[in-house]
Amino acid sequence: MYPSQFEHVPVDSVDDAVAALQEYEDAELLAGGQSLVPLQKTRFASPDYLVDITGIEELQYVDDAGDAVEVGALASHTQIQRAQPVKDHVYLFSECIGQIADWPVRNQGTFGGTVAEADPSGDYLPVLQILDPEITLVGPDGERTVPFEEFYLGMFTVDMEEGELITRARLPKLTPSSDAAGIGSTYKKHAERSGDYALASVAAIVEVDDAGDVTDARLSVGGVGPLTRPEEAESLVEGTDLDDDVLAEAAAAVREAVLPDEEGPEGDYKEAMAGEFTERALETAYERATESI
Amino acid sequence: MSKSEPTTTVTVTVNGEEYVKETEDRKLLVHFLREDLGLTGTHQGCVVGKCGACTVLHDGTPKKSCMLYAAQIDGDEITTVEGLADIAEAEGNEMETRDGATLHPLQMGFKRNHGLQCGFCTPGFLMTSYALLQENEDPDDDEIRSALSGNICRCTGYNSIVESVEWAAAELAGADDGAGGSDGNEDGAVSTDGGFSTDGAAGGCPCRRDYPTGGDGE
Repeated sequence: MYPSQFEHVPVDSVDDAVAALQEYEDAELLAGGQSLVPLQKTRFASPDYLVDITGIEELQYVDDAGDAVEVGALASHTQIQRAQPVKDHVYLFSECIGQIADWPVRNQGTFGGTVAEADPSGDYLPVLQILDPEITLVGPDGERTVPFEEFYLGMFTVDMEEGELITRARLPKLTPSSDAAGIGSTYKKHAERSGDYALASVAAIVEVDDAGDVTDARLSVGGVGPLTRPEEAESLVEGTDLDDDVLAEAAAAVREAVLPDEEGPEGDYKEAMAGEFTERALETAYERATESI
Repeated sequence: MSKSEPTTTVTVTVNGEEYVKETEDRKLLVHFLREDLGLTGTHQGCVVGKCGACTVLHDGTPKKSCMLYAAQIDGDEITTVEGLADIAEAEGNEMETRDGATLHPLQMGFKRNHGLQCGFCTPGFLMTSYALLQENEDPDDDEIRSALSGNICRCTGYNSIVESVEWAAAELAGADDGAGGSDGNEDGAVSTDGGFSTDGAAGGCPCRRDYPTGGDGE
């Protein structure tokens, strides 16, 4: 179906975008459009104006910024996935991006658009929850920066005022903390078909000491009801060397922690998969963490 | 189109030819190509960005043309399936069919290896495959499957499509020894030698017969 009528308003600077959002009533930002365009075609979204920010070149970058990797809001998924600083220092994010939709969609979809949409089944959310990058936004009152933890309010809901746009994020580099000898991370996704949204997904970061014991574990589960940080599972694995019993306990704690939207067998299945993929993610992250010690 | 419909004038180079056209703001690139430029090789399938039939190259990068507005591509370069043979000619690797048509090696690969049946999805597969081979001239099976995971085919299944791409990669690598070249096929399942497929016994399809090319290349 054709989208309903709208006026296309291309802008090529952040200032012009902010001005356009002030000027036009009922305007939506068009970044990559890989979620918005289908929503328009199915008439779930019918804005009168599309402020097209795809041409803002100043937001299309990925830079090494010392202790963090800075990502411009209009960097495409493919651009981020392949950027050397991301591959070297936040491989978790690169790994996650490789599982988003498919190649043509990743070529057009952008970081900022995905973060702003905050789809609970999207692949970014669990990874960003445990990375906790700073998100910078610009609006009529200037610039502000908030940690992702505060920025993400719930499914499809973020701390973004009318007239604001996301300009960049700082992804902290994954380096072992002072009491750790190694760090490893991974993103595991369970979907019905290649390219689908996750039925259950788990992001994990594990730090270990010289003896191979876990000093710190961060976990986040996506796709199973609200984005979940299973803190009990995290503390269960800390201080252990992640043997099978500990993995099973962590999985049980995750099954307890998630709140699937579906009732009955479908919900049970998602709970079970959240547990299973937690075990797989912890194992892989632990293997990667202990590789270097 | 009503008078009040917002429009944009776009200048776009498609397959090397420049077009200047006024288009409705809400017109998707796939409709622009098909209806305004008459380039009907690009197909619209699922409409929601899942099937990949509408894949074209946008400044050299594969994208789904049902997920882009024509107004967004002002000043850019688009390559569609109609441009593939010209690219092959420009690069000096064009191939001729028996009836004299010029094809890109990928197109020939799909033809020879049964990479298509109804052909509806084929333009999208070809464009994604072309972009893949631009980046990686010798992709392995997994890399091909991963690159093509955004393209859906409801006729052949995917093995023959993957074989088609492998065939073209070998052809482009200059492995043409008069038998289609078939190095790099770890499992030997790819029939590129003009013979019958011998794997899969009962499942083997005698229609896999290819053009005689003068010898058993294996």
